[in-house]
Amino acid sequence: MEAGIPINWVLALSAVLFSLGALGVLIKRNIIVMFMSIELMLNAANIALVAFSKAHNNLDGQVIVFFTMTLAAAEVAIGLAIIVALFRLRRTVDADKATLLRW
Amino acid sequence: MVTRSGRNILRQGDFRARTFDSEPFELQPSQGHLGFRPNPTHSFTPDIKFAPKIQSLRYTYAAAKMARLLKTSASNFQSRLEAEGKTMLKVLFLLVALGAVAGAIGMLSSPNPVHSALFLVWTLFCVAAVYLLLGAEFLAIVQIIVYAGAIMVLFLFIIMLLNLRRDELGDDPLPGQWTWGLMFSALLAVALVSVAGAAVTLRFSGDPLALTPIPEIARVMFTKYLLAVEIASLILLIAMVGVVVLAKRPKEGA
Repeated sequence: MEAGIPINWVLALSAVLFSLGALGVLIKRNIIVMFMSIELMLNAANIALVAFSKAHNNLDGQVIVFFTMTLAAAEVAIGLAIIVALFRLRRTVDADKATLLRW
Repeated sequence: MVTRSGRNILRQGDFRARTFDSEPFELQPSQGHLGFRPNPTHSFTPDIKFAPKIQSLRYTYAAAKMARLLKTSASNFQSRLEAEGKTMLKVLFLLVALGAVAGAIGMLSSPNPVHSALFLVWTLFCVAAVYLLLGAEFLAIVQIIVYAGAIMVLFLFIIMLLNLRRDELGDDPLPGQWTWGLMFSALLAVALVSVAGAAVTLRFSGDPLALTPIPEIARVMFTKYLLAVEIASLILLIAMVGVVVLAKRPKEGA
């Protein structure tokens, strides 16, 4: 019996989205857009988790995606607070100008 | 009637051929002869004075035949619907995947961070649609509420709170940043996609149109992953406290 969507397509979508997120982290200097790219990578990983969850007929993957979303929410709150603090200190969101901890 | 393509089609001509006469007829309300079933092989010449009665008999016969056809074709129709649903799933998935990738590219290529955030909202909606197509409807709803609803609103709020000028954006790339970034991510994409395309021998099993029952998710989450739920709640609490501490304006002279 022919199954619906092939899992390879889903994993390929996940891979492409992850690579685009990695590209965003690499080519952008605006720290907010870099942060959005990280969110995109998290989402790509979530897609792969859901796909594997469906392939194994097992709900663990979906539950882990739920936890990933929780962590992403916490991470975004903390990260944006750090960005606001950085902006107060340096008047910039350029990742290359946050050199306080650089050797 | 079953045609060569295996479809059950109810055609007017069937009744015309099996009954007796020539004129294509309109289905009309019965005049109380629903219990009467004429013999379809029996032929007789229509008389004009019986015309109303004959009409109603035709309708009775048509209704009976239609009911029989519907009954016999129910399973056939079901399987055809499922086959078409699977094709539809693939088409929908391709559309949604294209939308997600287009949104991601738009996010990376737009110079304005507000536009980037809105493109990312679009991508997240597409990801929610992917979850839905994979049968994870709970995650699709959570994705829309938490990601598109809460997280992206937080992003937009911060972007507008900072109210960046163009020279504060920091958008001029370092020398070689685009080249190396594109090379690295292209390599990553090729590696990951080839793994996804070739090395995975998994198949989706079961009904592709089935949805995940939410009580099952709850059962797994609050039994097997109960400790993780508690830790997640702690993480959220700590994040909340941390945000308050980080965002508090430092005291004067401190």
